[in-house]
Amino acid sequence: MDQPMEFEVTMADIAKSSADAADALCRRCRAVPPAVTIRTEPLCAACFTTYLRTKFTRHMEPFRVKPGTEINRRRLLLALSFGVASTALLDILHWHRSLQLQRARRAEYDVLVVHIDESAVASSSTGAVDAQLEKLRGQYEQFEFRSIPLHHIYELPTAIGDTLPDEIAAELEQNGDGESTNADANPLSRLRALLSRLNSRASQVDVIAILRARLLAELAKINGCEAVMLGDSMTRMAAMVLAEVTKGRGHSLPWLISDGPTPYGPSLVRPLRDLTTSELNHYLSFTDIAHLSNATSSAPKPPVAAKNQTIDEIMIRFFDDVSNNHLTANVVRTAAKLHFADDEDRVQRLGLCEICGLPMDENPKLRVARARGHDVSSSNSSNGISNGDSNGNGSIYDADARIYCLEPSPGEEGMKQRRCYGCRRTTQGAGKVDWPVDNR
Amino acid sequence: MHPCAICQRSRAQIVRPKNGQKICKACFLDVFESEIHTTIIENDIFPTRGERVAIGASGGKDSTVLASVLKTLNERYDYGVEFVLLSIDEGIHGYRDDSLETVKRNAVQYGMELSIVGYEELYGWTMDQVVDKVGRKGNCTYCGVFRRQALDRGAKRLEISHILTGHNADDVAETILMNFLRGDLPRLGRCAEIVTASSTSTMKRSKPLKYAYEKEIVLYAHHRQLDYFSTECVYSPEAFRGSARSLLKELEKVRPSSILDIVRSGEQLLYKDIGPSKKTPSVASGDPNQQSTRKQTQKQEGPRLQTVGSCKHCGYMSSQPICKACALVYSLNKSNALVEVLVTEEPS
Repeated sequence: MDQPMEFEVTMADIAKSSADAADALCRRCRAVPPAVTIRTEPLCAACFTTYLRTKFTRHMEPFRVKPGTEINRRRLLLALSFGVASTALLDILHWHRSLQLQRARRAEYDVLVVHIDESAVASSSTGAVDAQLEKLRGQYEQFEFRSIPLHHIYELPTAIGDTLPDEIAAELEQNGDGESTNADANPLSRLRALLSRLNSRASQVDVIAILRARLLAELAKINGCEAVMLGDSMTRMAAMVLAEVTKGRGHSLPWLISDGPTPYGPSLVRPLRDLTTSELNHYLSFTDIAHLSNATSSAPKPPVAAKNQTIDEIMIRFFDDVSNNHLTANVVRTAAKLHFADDEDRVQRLGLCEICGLPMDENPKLRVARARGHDVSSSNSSNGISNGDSNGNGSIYDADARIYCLEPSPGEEGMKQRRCYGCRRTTQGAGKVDWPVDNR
Repeated sequence: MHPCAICQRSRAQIVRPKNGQKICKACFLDVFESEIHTTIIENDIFPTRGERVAIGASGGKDSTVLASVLKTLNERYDYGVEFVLLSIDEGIHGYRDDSLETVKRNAVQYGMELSIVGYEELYGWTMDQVVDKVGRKGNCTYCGVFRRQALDRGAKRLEISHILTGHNADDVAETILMNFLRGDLPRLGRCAEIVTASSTSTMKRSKPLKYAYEKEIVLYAHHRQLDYFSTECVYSPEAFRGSARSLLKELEKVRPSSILDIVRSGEQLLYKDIGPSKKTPSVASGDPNQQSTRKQTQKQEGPRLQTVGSCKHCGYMSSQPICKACALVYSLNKSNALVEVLVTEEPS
C-alpha cells in the first residue's frame, strides 16, 4: 500500500537493471557488446562463430580424428559455387582441418575443392573463375582447387559415348561447331543440344542441377573421395524440398534431401543444414571473407521475366523473404521424417530413373493398394513391366495422360518404365535425349 | 483460324490452363467431363449402385460444377447413384443467405433433393454471433470444426454415409504446401487422398474434382452457363492459406503442370501414414538415411493410436471425452478463453 521510498530498490528494479545490462552485452561471454541476434539471443562475433562452428561440427563426426587408428588419409570433395553457403563451408572446413592438425598433429581428411563451371550453358554464371580460384588458393593453402566444366560429364569413362541416337547426331552435325562431324561430337555441343530440347528454362535449370550433382559424384569417385560436401543451408534445403515437391518428385524426396549414400556412389554430407542463409552471411562478414564469394557482386541480378523463372528460384525467394523465414525449420524437419518403407522394394522392382538416377515411382493408386496389402502383383510387377502397365488391369484409360496431362509425345512411348514422373515432366516433349550417364 | 488440337475441326477458343492446349469449346467441355469420369472410375468412388450420396453444396463455383458434372455423368455413364445436395447454413449475413438461394435454385435445376443444416440449430450459435464474440481473428477455426461435424450430421440425418466435396486440384496442392510449411506430417500423409474413410469416422468423403484446376472449373461454369455465387466469405480468409495460394499461383505461371505435380508428389507421401508397415524396413545400403536406425525405431513404435469414443455431450464420435465442436461451444457459452477449456477437458 505504501509507495516505496525513492531510494528503496525493489526486486523489480533489480530484475530490470540486470536485464538492461545483459542486453548490452553478448548473452554468452558477457564481455563484449553483441554484434548479431540469433534466434532471440544477442551474441558477439566470436560467440556467434563458435555457435555456428558447433552446428557444423556435429555433422563432421565421421571425419574426426580417432585416436589409436592408423593414419589413412581420407578424401572429401567440396562443391564450391562461390555462393555464400559454399564459401562459408570452405572456410569452416579449412578451420576444422587446421584444428585437427593443431590438436592431433594430423588431419583425418584431405579436401579437393571443385567448382563446376556452368558459364558455357547458364547465363547467370560469371566468368573469371580462374582469378577467383587463384584468390582461394592463396587463402586456403591446405586444399586443392579445380574448376571443371559441366560438359565434362560427357567425357567421363562411365559416359555413354558411341551410341548417339541418329536424330541427335544429325542435329549436332547441322548446328555443330564444325568439329562435330561424327557421333563423338564435342561434349559442349552435346550438352547444349540436350538443353535445347527442353521446353522451358525451369526444365533446363532442373537438368543442369541433376547433371551437376551427378558430375560431382563421378568426380568424387574418380578422385578417390568418399563423400561430397555440399553447402546447402537450412533455408536452401527448405526451398529444395518444396521445389522438388513442385516438380513431382515427392517419391524420391528422402533421397534428395538426406545425407548419406546415393544410389550412384559417394555419400552426401551437408554440414550446414542446421544453419540459415542469413547466419552464413553473418559468418562471412565476421570472418571478413565476404569478398571471396561472388554473392555480393551479383546482388543486382538482371530481372527475369516471370514466365522464365525457375521453380527453384521462386522457392528460394519465398524462403529468403523474412516473413517466411520461420517456416524453413518446419519444412526441413517434416521432410526429414519422411521415410518410404517400400523404397528398397521399389528399387528392386522398378529400378532407377534413367535421368535422375533415383528410385522410380509408381502409380499412386497401385502404391496405396500395395500398402493396404492388396495383391497387385498379378497385374503388375511379376512381368517386369510394372510401371508401364501402371493402371493395372481393368483400367479404361491411361491415367498419366488423362489425369496428370503427361501424355507421351509420339515416339516417346514406354518412357514410363525408365523415367520417373518428375523427370518425365522435365523432359516432356524432348523425345530421346543424349543422356551422358547410364543409370539403368 | 487456329484449329482445335483435339478435333482438328472447330476453331480453338480456349487455351487449356492445365497444359496450354488450344482447343474448342465442345472439346473442352468433353475433356473436362471425361477427366472427372476417369477419376471416378479409377478410384472407384461409387462402388455400389443404388447408393444415395450427398454433395456438399455451398453455391460456389466448385460445388455447383461438381453437382452439374455429376448429374451429367450419372446420366451418361449410369453410375446408378442418387445425389442429394447438402448445404450448411453458417449464419453469415450477406454471404450465406445469398449463396443458399443459389443452392435452392440449383436443386430445382438439377432435380436434386436439398437439405440445409444450420449452425444455429446444431450449436445455438450463428457465425455472426461467434464473430461478435471472438472477433475476426481465429473465427475460421470455429467455422471449420463446426462445418465438418455439421456435414456429417446432415448426412446422417439423410441416412447417407458418403459425402462429396468440391475440393479442386488447387485446394489440394495448396494444402500439401501448407502442411509442409506448418510441419504437419500426419495431415501431409492424408491430405492428397481422394477418398478418406478414417477409422475415426464412418462417413466417407471424396473429392471427385481433385485433379480439376480451379481455372478450368471457372471456365466450365462459364461455358455451361452455370448459376453460381461468387462472393468470398465476408470474414477474414485464412492468412496462412493465402500465402500458400500466392506461391502456388507463381509456380503455375512458370510451369502450368505444377499444381498437378504437387498433387502427384503428395500422393506419393501417402504411403507412410497408411499404417505402420508390416515389413521391417532394413537398413541396407540403399537406405538414404544415415541416422535411419534411430528414426526407424521411432517409426516402428508407430503413431499414437487414436481411440474412437463418443462425445459425452452430444454423442458424436470423438477421440476425446468431449468433441472439439462441443468444446468450442462450451468455451463460447462460458465466455472463457478457448485454451482454458481445453486444459480442463484434458483426459486423465
